[in-house]
Amino acid sequence: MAIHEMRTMGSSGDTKLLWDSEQDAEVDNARRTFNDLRARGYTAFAVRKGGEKGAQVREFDPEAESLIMVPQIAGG
Amino acid sequence: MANYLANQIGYFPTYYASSSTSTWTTTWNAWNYTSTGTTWGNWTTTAATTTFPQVVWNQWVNDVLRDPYQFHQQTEAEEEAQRVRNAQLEERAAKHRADAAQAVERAETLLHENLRPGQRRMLRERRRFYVRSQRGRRYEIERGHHANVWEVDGSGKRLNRLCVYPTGGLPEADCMLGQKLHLEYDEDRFRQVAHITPVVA
Repeated sequence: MAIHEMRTMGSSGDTKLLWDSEQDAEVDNARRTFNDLRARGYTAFAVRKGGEKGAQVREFDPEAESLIMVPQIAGG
Repeated sequence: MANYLANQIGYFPTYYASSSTSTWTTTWNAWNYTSTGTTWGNWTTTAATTTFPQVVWNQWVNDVLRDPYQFHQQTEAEEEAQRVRNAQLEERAAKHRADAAQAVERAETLLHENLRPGQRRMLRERRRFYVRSQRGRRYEIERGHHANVWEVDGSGKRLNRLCVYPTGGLPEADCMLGQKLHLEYDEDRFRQVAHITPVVA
């Protein structure tokens, strides 16, 4: 069993979505959430704990260890 | 209550606006009884004296302006309803404070989980940390929601201020993490959106 997580930033702090990459239903749910957030302007970053090397991702990867979804940025 | 007070501090008695019998009766009596303890009483009985304008004015102030609450005695049911309403509002305010504190705590945890040890230490000690960007530039992110990102040179001297932030009313630490991730993995987009101001020496 491999558990993965998606952290979505919001005004009440981040919300966490976990999925087991071996469970199709959970992966489908995570993919739907990912695509929905992307459509709403969120940027997705695959990260590793401790600030180690990550990447921006545009397609959902069920094997990503941890995803952080950041709302659209704006200039101040 | 706001409407009630607005009526009281105007120049007409409350009974024009109030549906409460006790309220308009009290107001009417304050205006019209002929004893010297009312506005009208002072007006009519002291008119021959040299001080009547002051007496009438003082009575008006006493009757209507100084203590507007005297014209509305809350019933027990109204007081109970107010107590219940106050309790509900206090409970809601307490929940809001607790939720806000939890949001801040979650955001701080997420930020710390995604910083290197040196960045965590710098944030704790100096309320800022450095980031090496995707294109090799060096940035300083200080505590804040926006206007808190600086492009710096190798010695830490500030060159440009970049105003850009993730939308959505995020807690401070989430804003800072969003800025960091963009600088590390989506720098071109970050600079494209940012309002960049050179630092004047």
